[in-house]
Amino acid sequence: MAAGSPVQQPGLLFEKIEDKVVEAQVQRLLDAKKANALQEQPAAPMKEITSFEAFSQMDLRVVTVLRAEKMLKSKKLLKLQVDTGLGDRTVLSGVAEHFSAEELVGRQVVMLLNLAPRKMMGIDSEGMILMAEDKDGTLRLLQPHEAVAPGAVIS
Amino acid sequence: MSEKTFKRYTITSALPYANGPLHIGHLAGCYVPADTYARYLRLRGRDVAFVCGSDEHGVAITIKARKEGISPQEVVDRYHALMQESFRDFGISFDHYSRTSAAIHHETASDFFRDLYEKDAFIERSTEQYFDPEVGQFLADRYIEGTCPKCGYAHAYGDQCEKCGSSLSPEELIEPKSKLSGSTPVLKETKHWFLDLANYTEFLKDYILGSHAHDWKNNVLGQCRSWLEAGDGLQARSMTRDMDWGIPVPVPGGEGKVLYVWFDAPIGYISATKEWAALSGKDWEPYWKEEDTKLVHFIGKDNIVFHCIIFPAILKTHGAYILPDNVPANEFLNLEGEKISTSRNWAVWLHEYLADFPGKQDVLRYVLTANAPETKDNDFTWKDFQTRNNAELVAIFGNFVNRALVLTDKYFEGRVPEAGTFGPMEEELLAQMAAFPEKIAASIERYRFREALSYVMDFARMGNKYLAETEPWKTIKTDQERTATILHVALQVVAGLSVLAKPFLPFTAARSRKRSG
Ligand SMILES: [Zn+2]
Repeated sequence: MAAGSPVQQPGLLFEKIEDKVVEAQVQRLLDAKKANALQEQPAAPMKEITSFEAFSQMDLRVVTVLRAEKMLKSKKLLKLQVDTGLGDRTVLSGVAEHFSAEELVGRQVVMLLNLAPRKMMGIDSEGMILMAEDKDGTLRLLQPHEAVAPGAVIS
Repeated sequence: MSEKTFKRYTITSALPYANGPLHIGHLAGCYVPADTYARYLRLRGRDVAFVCGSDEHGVAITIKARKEGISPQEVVDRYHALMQESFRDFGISFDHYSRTSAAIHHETASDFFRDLYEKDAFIERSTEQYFDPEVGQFLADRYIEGTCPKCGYAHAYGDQCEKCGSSLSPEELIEPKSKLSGSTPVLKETKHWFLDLANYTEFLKDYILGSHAHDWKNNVLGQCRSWLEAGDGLQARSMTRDMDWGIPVPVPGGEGKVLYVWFDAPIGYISATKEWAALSGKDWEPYWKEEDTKLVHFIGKDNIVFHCIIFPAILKTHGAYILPDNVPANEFLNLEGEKISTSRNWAVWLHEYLADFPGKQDVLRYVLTANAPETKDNDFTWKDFQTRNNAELVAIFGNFVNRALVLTDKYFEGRVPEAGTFGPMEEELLAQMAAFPEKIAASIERYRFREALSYVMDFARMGNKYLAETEPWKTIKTDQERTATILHVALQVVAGLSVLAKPFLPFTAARSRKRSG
């Protein structure tokens, strides 16, 4: 560098990298590891053999969710109003940590229609919505691949 | 041999396999060191051909294509584009990046095979191999699945059990099944062309353990020695496969067979050089055939046998080609204490790094060189990445350059001040500085990039120390001339540093140049 010649403008050549930035990268790896571990976990073992008679006693239907609301005193429960094709029913479902009320309205889901009613938090729940539980514990709705009339029998 | 002077350099990086994106292990293994070497040589005004390309043949690509329901060509097109983009993004300065599906490569590799065939270099041998009777196709090892005889894992491949890591041969699997149809494969006779490596033992011992005992890396020599001095010696290796994806075997009886991917892949370096020469109006032949050309292959340790044993045997048989002068293979880079794994997503992907750290290519290049697995497997950790950035690049390199420039800006209107008389500190500093370029060059020429980079940082440290000891921010109050001398000298260190760091930190060098406009 000869005397008198202009030097480059100062400016930071390198910037400090903060803790939270590298922590996020480590977290991404830990997430990948968790996903792998779940992948390798085998599916739940098969239950005991059942009979066709026992199965046919279950009245499984496709129903349409008309309304859904959060229960004031429960973190887990949503109160659903469903159209069963045989009239509307109230069902309490433990899915509030997985779905918002708005997400469910208008959807068709699978319901066990003839489950004995059960009182929860002062309300009669008249049936049960069926879900698939993934390896990591997340719940997924079961829906017909095209819309059907509410009350369609599953067999 | 290493004392020889060379007129030109042919530098290659291992052809990356076109079935997935690139991660930091690739970069650390053979792309950053080769690029640093090529940039250094160009800075010294040497004649360099730095070539690479995508490796697009082999059974793993056909498996991937099957899995995704697309053609092998679609698989390689996708990853060729992605890899080429990553190399460009990280400043890997190939003179040419080709691909093994290119017509020129098919022609070059076929010519090689025919040449060796005509010289009677191959043994034709019939062996029994698993055949899928339902699909009517011979099965590559990877297309056979069964129970591992060692650990009982039900989904072991024909060549390896991924559960216990054992190397297997398909016949060892219990209840083998074809992955194509699920049917039980049957053994059927098939003919292949073998290169009898035992014939080359003396030549290879001479070439490697004789001529290069002192200039090749210990990890490379160690592996070669274990191959060359093994009790049962070198074995014949089949150079052909029963497959339809690849370069057709160009001799009578070769119908339905292709060249083994490790026969054609290293020839890909030659094809890439031909393509580069055609595009730039040069003659490719001196780069591969003249004794005063230095041929250097940068690879990872898993490719040593192919570059140090098989490829030299092929080149030697052909006869018109020079042999690799060096094969500075790196060991493996692990990630946070575990082996990098594409299938398990235990990797730092280059395109994701760039999305998360835009403009910070040099930081990664720096960390991967400072922590390069040159002599043993090394570990990349994000904590180390952060520390090297904050405590080395920011606190030493960046801080020194910035201080010198800010003070010059403030006291001398951004112009290099005239120096007065040098004191003992300046004399000592300038004398020390003068020794660095040769020291760094010597390390690079011996493929010791970590060491070379540590000297570059020592150079920056010297500058930092000089400013801390001379304190121009104090002398300015009493002695304008002394301050001018200090900053004049400090700016010489800045200038020297930017040249020395250029092969390692090309983006930083380019940014400095832009600023000085
Ligand atoms: Zn095993």
